[in-house]
Amino acid sequence: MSSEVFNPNPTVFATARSNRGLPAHYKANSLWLDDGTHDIEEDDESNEVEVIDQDEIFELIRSISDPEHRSMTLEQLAVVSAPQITFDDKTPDRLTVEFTPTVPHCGMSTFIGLSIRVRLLRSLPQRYKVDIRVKPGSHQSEHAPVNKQLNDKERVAAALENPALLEVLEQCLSTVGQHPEPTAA
Amino acid sequence: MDSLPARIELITQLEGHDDRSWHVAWNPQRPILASCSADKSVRLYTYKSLQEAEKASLTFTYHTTIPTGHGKTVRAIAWSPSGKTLATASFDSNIGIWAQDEEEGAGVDDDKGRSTEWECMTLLEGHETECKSIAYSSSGNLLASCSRDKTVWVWEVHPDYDFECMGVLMEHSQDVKCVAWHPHEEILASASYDDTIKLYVDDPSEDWFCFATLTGHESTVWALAFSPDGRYLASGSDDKTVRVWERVQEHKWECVAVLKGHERSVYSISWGKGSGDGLGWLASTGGDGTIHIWAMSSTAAEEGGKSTLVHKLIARFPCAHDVSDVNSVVWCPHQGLENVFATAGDDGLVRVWRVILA
Repeated sequence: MSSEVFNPNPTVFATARSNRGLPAHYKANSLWLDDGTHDIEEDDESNEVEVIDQDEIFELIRSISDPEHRSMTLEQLAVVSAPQITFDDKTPDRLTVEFTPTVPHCGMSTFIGLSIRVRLLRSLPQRYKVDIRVKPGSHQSEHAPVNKQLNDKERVAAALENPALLEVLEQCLSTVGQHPEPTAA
Repeated sequence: MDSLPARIELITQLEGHDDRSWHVAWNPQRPILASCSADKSVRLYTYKSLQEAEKASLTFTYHTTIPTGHGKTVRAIAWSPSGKTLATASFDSNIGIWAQDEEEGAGVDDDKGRSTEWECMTLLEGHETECKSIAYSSSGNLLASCSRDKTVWVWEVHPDYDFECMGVLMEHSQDVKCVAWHPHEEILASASYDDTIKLYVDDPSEDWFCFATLTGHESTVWALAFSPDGRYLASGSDDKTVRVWERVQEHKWECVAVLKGHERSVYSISWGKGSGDGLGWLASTGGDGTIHIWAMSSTAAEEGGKSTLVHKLIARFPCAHDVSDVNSVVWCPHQGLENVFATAGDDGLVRVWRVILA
């Protein structure tokens, strides 16, 4: 990752207090939700297919650290928000997460998108198929190649076998599940 | 309910990979099925076909695992036409060439019933980044490989596992996802993230060169398959379609059909002989987890005109690997098993299926 700062003075937004706690099994590094570690009470409900909504998806990605401003989350920089998460009407297991990069820089956008993809890959049940896109208009004409790269499973798989990239990614994901004190609105 | 004329039935499920399974390959000579995975291994299965009271049964037995030693995902595998050599393409950018030590016996098992080990005979280095696909020409004299480094390499196969690079083709502007050889001529096709397909031949006085670029797909082209008779080339894309290109002149290919029906990327296609007359059966699968089987045929040429390609969906199977993407579909090449194919999925499983006409 380049040491050049692309956005030295980002706008910080007020964050909402988490209005629902995450179940214990949404561990930061748990590969799948159903990893066999949850208790009996939850097993009783396992016959029902759990429906995950916009807020729960947001809960999973809001506290990912920004790769450039590590002390801030994607929520604080308004890169992600709940309304930017949409579900397919016909197939509720298919969802699209849009994000708004703070600066129109391709490499950084790709990295943010990758961190969202990996977080959801590790947290959501396997039946979910996620498309990740840069919010139209937020990234000039560069967003098409970023979207294409983020939705190419082979490129994502190869990126996750790159130790240098994975290290930075793990750092950005190490803050998930932690919420900073809500700033005064 | 489906009112299609055929159904797809699961024969068996082969477990064992610890991670996403990317690709399957049937040995063209011996009853062996191989699969490769992000777990960096190749698993080999042997199979037997038994005729029992009108119904043929096919049983699979785990044979061995090749750990490969590749540093990253094994993305694709290819058997040589002799069936003696297996090539592995890895995200570590290298190609492994594997064979059994012939002095220990050429069969799957030696006389004591033990398996002879598959050994790495050579490692082909040259690609700068992930190697994504690999294919032997029909004669077995040439091997093609492609990579995210945007290149396609053509290697000449010499005795004693010696390979000579005959050309590095730098025609694509992005990752090259797939390479495929024509079934009886030395024509090579490559498919790319740049949405195009390129066709190459060897100029005896010069080098390998690109003689055609096929455009039409609206996103990454993931897969290629020539028809068994070599007159057509099919391609599967992230634009959710399968296109079929016809060889209209010696060096000219034109799109003659667009097959729709998939809801997400088409990751793999395979064109087998199928049952009955016609041009064979085309299988497609991908990110929607659905398998489609199309019967391909052509109408008789009208006077002074040319024949027209006809495609008909004969079977469809959703959720073939439950909720997972299906990364690979390949028809069994053996006589009598033309209706059998294998798939590999993100769930790490390999499944073997048969198509049954109603």
